[in-house]
Amino acid sequence: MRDAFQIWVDAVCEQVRFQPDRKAIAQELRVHYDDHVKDLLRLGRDPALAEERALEAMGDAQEVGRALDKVHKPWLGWLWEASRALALALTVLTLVTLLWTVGLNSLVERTIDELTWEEPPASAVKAELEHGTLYAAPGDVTQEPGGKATAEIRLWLQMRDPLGTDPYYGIKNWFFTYRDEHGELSVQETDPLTRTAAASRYWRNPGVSRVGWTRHSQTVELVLDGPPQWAEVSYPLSGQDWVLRVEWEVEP
Amino acid sequence: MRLNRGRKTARNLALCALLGALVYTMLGFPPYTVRGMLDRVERRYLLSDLEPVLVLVEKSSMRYDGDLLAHHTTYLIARTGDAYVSTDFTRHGLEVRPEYRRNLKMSHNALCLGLNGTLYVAGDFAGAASASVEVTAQRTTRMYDPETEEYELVVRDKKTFSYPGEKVSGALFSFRYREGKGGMASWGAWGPYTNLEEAAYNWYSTYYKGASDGSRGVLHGDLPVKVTLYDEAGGVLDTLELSISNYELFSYP
Amino acid sequence: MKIDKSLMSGSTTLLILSLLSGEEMYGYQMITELARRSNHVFALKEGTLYPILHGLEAEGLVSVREKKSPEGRTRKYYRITRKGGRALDARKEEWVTFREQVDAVVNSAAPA
Repeated sequence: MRDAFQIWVDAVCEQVRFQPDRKAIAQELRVHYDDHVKDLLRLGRDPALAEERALEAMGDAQEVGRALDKVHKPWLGWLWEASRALALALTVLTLVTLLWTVGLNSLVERTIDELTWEEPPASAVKAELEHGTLYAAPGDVTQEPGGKATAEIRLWLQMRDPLGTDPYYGIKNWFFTYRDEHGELSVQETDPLTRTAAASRYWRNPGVSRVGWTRHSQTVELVLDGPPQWAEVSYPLSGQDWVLRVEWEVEP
Repeated sequence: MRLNRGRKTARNLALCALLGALVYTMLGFPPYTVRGMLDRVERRYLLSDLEPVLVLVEKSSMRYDGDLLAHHTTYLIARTGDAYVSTDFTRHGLEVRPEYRRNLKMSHNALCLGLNGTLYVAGDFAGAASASVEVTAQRTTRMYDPETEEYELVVRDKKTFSYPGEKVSGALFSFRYREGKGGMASWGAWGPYTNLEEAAYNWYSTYYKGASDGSRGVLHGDLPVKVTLYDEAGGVLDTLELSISNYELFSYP
Repeated sequence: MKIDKSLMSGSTTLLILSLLSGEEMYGYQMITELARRSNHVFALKEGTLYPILHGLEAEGLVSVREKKSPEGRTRKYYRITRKGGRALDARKEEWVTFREQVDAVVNSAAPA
């Protein structure tokens, strides 16, 4: 419901052409009026009379409104609003450009890698190499139709690599030899999906790297003729003798 | 410090100018106008007073990995005195990369540029009423001669394609050599090609050694281009001997 | 005694800046303070105070901030700026000169 003062305030605000300022003006005038009414009540005036006196003291709405309109220049108001929007847009643009020039994609990827990093489990077998440590653990096994099975071998590599700023540097370029009771298989990573007679390999996670110390975590997916029991992973070109034997629990 | 509206506006606008300058600097002062692009070419190749002869803007439908925005390429032919240059600038968002599609070409008296099925020839053509062009493509193989123990280049196929020109301006003729939407129907490296685009692609291609899937690459070759200029009465005014790379003539299928 | 409106209008800026030179104030406070200090001689039409205040703010003579009063209402408080202080000094000087000249004329016109 509009009281007498609201009608007065509306008449004032109507004169102000820069509409976004109207609310603040009405608010300020309303507080003033309320203060005045309260003062008059404190002096023991009758409420209705107090309101009437306070409103009367505010003066002519047209005169006040026109004077306010002169001060609240619409062009300056809109220019100010435009400058705010422009400044905000340019700030966003600057940040985007900054990220773009330093490499937005790599930043996003690295953050995701960092957040999804999983430490190797305590049960993982490991090999201490000259330049780092390699861990291996059995992963999930999925039965495929036709007796085939897909088995995952999970690998972690922590390497002391002073140049390891590229997440694709590391195990990706290594050659692995996979062995089980059926025989031996060399899996070379030139293509993310190298299908051979017995196995295909797919690297799941790119590595997480920092200058000086690089971690990689990857999953090798093997397509086998039957369910896996054990597998040996080695790297014949490493110049070191190491074999990581991964064993799956055989279901009864 | 509490500022009034005027001060805040001034501060915001100053901030905008600063950020704008920062972004522009980070992007490497990209030129957005044709004049700006020509200024860049002038500075880089020590030229002066380049005036545009051809300006073609093309939006690429191709997106590379990680590209959020389309590429807009501006192809330019410009001249100063009797020197002609062709170049291109590709805009990607606010970034502009020079010579993204083609290397800059520079020549005296005349220059030709193949672009999307049209051959553009720039030169001083104020007096010419019409023009025609002849482009010659050929297929060659290297034959071993046991007597001299040397390889000899043997021409297997040769064909001259001829097209009428359309006068674009006093400095530019265009010759449309692609019919309809174009595209290459035949895929073999041999065959009686009747189309300049197919000849420029197939006759210069070579199968990769040992590739069982028939993949092949296209070798670079310069094709002779002969432009004949005619006056109003149809008499021959002048002929120009130019050449063009086969890579400018075809679009990858 | 109430003063003629036209006599007031020229000096409202001076009065308001003088009020604010002492402390930060909100609009209604200025009205009551003005009435109190002038023994209820100066009574502004209260609504017209705000265009003047907003104008002074646009000129940079006063600055404004929102503050919760002890009773919990959000009020706009005005405070004089350094530029406003300089303007006040200039206005004061003007006023003193003006008053002296008016006095001189008024007193000399008195019958001897």
